[in-house]
Amino acid sequence: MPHRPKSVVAAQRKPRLPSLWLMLLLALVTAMPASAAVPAGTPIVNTAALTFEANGSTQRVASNTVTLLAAELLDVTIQAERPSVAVQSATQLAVPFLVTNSGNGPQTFALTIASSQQAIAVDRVALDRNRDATFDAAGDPTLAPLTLQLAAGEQARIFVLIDGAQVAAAATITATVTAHAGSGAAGTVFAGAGANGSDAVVGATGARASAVSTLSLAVAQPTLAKSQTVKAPDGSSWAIRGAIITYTLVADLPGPTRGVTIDDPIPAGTAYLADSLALDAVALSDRADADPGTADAAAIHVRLGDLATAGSHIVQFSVRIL
Amino acid sequence: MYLRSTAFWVMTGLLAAPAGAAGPLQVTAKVLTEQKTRAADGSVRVALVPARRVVPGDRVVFVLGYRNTGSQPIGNIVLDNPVPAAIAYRGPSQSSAAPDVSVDGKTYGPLATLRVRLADGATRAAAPDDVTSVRWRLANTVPAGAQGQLSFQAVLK
Repeated sequence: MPHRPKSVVAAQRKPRLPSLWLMLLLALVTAMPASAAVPAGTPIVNTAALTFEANGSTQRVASNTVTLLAAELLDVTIQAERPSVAVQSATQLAVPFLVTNSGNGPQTFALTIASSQQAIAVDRVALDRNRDATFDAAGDPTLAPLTLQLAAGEQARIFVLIDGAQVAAAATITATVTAHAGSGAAGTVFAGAGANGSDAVVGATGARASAVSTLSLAVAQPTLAKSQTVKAPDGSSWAIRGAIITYTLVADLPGPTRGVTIDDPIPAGTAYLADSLALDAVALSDRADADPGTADAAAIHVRLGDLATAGSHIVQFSVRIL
Repeated sequence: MYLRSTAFWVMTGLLAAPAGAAGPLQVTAKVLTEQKTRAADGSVRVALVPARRVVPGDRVVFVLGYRNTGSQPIGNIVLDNPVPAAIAYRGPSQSSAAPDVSVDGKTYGPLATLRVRLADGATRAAAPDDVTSVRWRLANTVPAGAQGQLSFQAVLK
C-alpha cells in the first residue's frame, strides 16, 4: 500500500527588478559577460539523508549517491561589429567581427571567410590580442590556421584584412564560425567530445554562426556607434547601483565633413562622472573652454568642427548608476 | 500514469540500490531529466528519464524514495536533500508534497517566509535560486511495508 504524501503546489515568487535596472540590464545584455553557467565536466553529486525514530533513538540513513557530469553546451555567436564599411581606395581594410563562445566549456572554433566577389581576396585574419578594437599590424597576430580558442563565455574580436584596391563594387564579407567538437541541430550529442570527458551537446545556436559585413564604395554617411562597459564597486560587470558605465562613441567619417558635433544626453538614473570626458584618448575638461568638449549633468558635447579628411574619432565618458 | 495529456512519467528506470540497508528504512535518490520526443502526429511527449547528460538550463527532477522494510510503523521521518552547488532549486514537483526549504542550512520553512541577509545587513525575500537545502517532515507514521516518494524540480545553473 503506497504511502502517498498530499500534493501541494509551491507558491513560486519571481524576483522583481526596479524598472530602471531592468532597462539597464536589457540595454547591457550584449555587454555582459555570460552568466555563470556550470562549467562543462563539473560533477554534480547528490546524496539525500533520512532520519527517523526507532527503538527510542534517532537514526540516520544516507541514500545512494547519484553523480552526474555536466555536459558541454556547444554554442557560438558572431557579430559584424561594423555592418557597413566604407572603402577607401588602396588602403587596407580591417573588417571587425566579434566571436563569443556562449557555451559552458573551452572550445576551439574554425573560421571561414567568404566574399561575394571572386576578385576580393582575404589577405589574412588577425586576432585583436590587446582588445583595443583597432587593428595593429605589430601586435595583432595572424590566425593560422584559421581557428580561435575561447574559454567558456569568452569573446574575441577578429579583423578580416582586405586590400581596398580590390574592391571595385559593393561586396559582402561573410565570416562563419563553427565549433570544433561538432555542430548541427540543437540537441545533437557528440559523446565524450566535451571538457573533462563530458559529452558535448549542440545548443540553440547550432554551434555554428555567420555574420555579414558590407563593403560599400559610395561615400557612406557618417556613422556613430555607441557601446559601453560596466564596472561595479565589487569588481563585477553587473549594472548595479554605484557601478560606473563607460560609454564609447565611435564616429566614423567616411570623407571630409563639416560642422561635426557629437552630443549625448546623460541617461536617466545615472550621474555624469566629472572630468571623465575624452576625445581620442585625450581628456577634455567639462567647462566651456579652448578644448572641444563640454559636459554637465544633462549631456556631453564634443565639437569637432570641420574635418578635412576621413577618419574615426572616439569619444568616451562615464556615468555612475544612481 | 499521466501527468498531463502530453506528458507522462517513466519511473521504471534505474532505481538505484539503497545504500542504507542496515535499518528498517531505506532511502533512494534519483535524478531525472525531461526527454522530449515528437510523435508522428506532431505532438511532443515529455518523459522523465534518469539523467545522464545535462547542460546548463536543463530541468531536472530530484526524486527521493523511501520504504519501511521493517515490521513496525516508523514515525518522525525527516528526508533531507542538500541542493548541489551546480543546481538551482525551482519548486516541488506536481506529484509531490511541498518541502520546507532553507537558504542557510539552519532555518527551514516555505520559501515565501525566508529572507536572505545581504552584505550591508539588510535582508531581502528569498528566491528559488537561494535555496541550499530541501527537507520534508512526514506528518504521519509510515506503516510496515509502506513506501512513498517525494520530489522537487531544479535546473542546472
